[in-house]
Amino acid sequence: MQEINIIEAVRQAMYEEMDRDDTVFILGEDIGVRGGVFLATDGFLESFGAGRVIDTPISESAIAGIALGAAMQGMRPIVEIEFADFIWPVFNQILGEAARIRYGTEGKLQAPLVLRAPYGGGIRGGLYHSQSPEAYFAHTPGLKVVAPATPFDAKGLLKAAIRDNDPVIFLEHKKTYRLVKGQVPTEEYTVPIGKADVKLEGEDITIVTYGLMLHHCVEAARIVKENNISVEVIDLRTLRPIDHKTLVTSVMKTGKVLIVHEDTQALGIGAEVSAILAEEVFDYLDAPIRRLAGPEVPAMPFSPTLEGEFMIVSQDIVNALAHLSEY
Amino acid sequence: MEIVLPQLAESITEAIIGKWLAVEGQEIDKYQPLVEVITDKVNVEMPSPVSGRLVKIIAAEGETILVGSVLADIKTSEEGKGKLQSPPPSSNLDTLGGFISGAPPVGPTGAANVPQNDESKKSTVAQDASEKTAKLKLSPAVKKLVEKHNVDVGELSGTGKFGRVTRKDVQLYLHSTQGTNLDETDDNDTKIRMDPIRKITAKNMSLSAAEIPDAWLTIEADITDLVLLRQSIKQSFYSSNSFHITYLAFAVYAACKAIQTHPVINASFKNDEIVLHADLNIGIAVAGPSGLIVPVIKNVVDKSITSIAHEIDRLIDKVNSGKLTHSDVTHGTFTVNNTGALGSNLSIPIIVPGQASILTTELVTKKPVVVQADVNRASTQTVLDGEHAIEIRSMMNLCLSFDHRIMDGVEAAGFLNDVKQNMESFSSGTSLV
Repeated sequence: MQEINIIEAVRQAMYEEMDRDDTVFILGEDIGVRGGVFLATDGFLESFGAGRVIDTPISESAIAGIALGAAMQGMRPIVEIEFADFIWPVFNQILGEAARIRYGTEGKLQAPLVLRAPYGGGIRGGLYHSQSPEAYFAHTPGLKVVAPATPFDAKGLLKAAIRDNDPVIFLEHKKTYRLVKGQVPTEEYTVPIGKADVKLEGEDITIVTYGLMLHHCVEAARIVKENNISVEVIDLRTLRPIDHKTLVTSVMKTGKVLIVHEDTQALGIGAEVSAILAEEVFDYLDAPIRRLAGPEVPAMPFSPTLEGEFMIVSQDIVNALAHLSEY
Repeated sequence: MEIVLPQLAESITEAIIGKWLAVEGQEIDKYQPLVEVITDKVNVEMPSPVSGRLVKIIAAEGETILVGSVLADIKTSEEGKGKLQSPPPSSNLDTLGGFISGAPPVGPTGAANVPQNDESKKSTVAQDASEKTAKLKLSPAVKKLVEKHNVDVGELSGTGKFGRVTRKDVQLYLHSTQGTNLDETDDNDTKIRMDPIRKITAKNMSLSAAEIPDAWLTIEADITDLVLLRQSIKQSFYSSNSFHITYLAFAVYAACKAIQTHPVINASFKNDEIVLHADLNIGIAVAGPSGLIVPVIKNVVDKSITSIAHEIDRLIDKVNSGKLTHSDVTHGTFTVNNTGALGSNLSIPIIVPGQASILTTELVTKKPVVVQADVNRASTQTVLDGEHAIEIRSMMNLCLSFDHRIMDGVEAAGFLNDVKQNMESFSSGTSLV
């Protein structure tokens, strides 16, 4: 085992996969000479050469299009979008083409590409370096959307994503990059896409969350435990497809649900989780399903005070748990 | 009429009274700001729900009061004249909607409307109504549970908000009145909590199945002579020893003798090494009152058939009286299970983790068997030809599961054949002591 942070887990996953499989290559802005804006590809140019580590112009649509073309020809490209806030130009390539390519060609072509994007706020990034785009992608059949929260999951899921034959949107919360450390095996392993993980077992309330919020949720669960409220914390890890079974099993046990995400609430991941539970375990619910999510404003504000208001913290979760417990 | 603190927002249960914006005796218009109300969510100027004279301020500035408590008394002009029929309290008075309906929204949350309660009602009418409706407001989980178990919700005291009956309340009630398991969810399957012995058995069996690559063999033994021997001594044995002589005692003895020439049977697989045990302690599977248990006969090598029978009797007695000690069930190196007692003809037993093999003795069955024709036994034989005859013999299967990491089939079969021979060699001449 080794203790590493998330950016190192991401770096190792890509390095090992490129080492293992010659069809894997990376492309994006500043990923070569600079080693990536977050240094996820530091040293890759020296190891794998300019043919497999491609610095691109500032044109996300072109980057995604090149990746899609290469993927259709049997390569396994990894795209780095410098910040998820700049991801919108890829929409046509990824939603309009990559997601449909196997369907549209009756299985003759496929798009095994990974699109990595650092997302999320709480880092004084303002309107253009803080957004959470997961709901837009998770809505689209044909894509897989992954959002790990720990180094173990980040490495295992990224390797699984690179080997997956579907286009995978791989979202890395940039605040967790160097903040979250954890034990990761030195041996080869992958984490299956589509499988949620119970990060903390409990009896009274189920929290469903992902990304940075997982860590706030675990902290909140520990706080309320002192008041004898036993909380189960589920890390979705994959946002499409969502793991119904883990959710259903937990809620059948607890009967109460709190969904927490940083992204805004309306029509978000929490809405889908809520609908799944209402459809599948209605008879087990002992309280209304509750969501705690970002406020309905167009973007993460720049002002530190307002950003602080936007971001959910452990105390918000503790309050919501207290209300659910009291219900 | 009495003015009560309305529900200001969904999660608010109490509020602090700020500054009163009117004084006692003052004439108040409907919707005129009456008092500041402070909560951790909203600060509002609460408007008067009615026109009239502020007779009395009941909630003092700075006081924390519950939703539904009385703030003040306002004498309306209608009250002065006589009576006005107020609508009955809304059935969903405890929700935000109950306060909004029928009045325009006022204040930042649109919730600061006070219901017009009939003056004849008690002062805590709003709260009473909340409790009443909360009790009747069953969550899907509670509804399903009470329907399934036919519970009268009225009998339950709710511990939820406003006395709502929670799922846990129903579960605890069912547990105390019907002994229903607390973990039972409300599907149709019955869930049985495992007792400690069941849990240990489950753990050991899973461990064995997961770790030990087992193989198995069956050999049929002709124990006609043993059956005759046991029948002839049964009574006298019991009267002189006050315990029974069982087939199991012979089987343990037969296995013990065979193990002495096959030490690999009495072994463990540990860290890629095969450990041959110096001692031979044979466990016997016993169906006790609380489940399967395997007490161990220690140092079997030194024991006669009688002393093995004595040990078996003593251990079974301890199982039934619940007096087994830790040392009675530990340090086993081999196990014998008389599955024949259950009526079984053939078993594939699971090896106890830490041991190399396990033997079962199956049901003794009378069978027509082809034997050597023997003129001395003409009365019991049907001769087929000069060489062969058919005879009714008492047959028993011996089954062995073994850890294939420790031994191969040839060693296991060698052992099992020796057990068979030993079982077949018991006869009237066998020494029991």
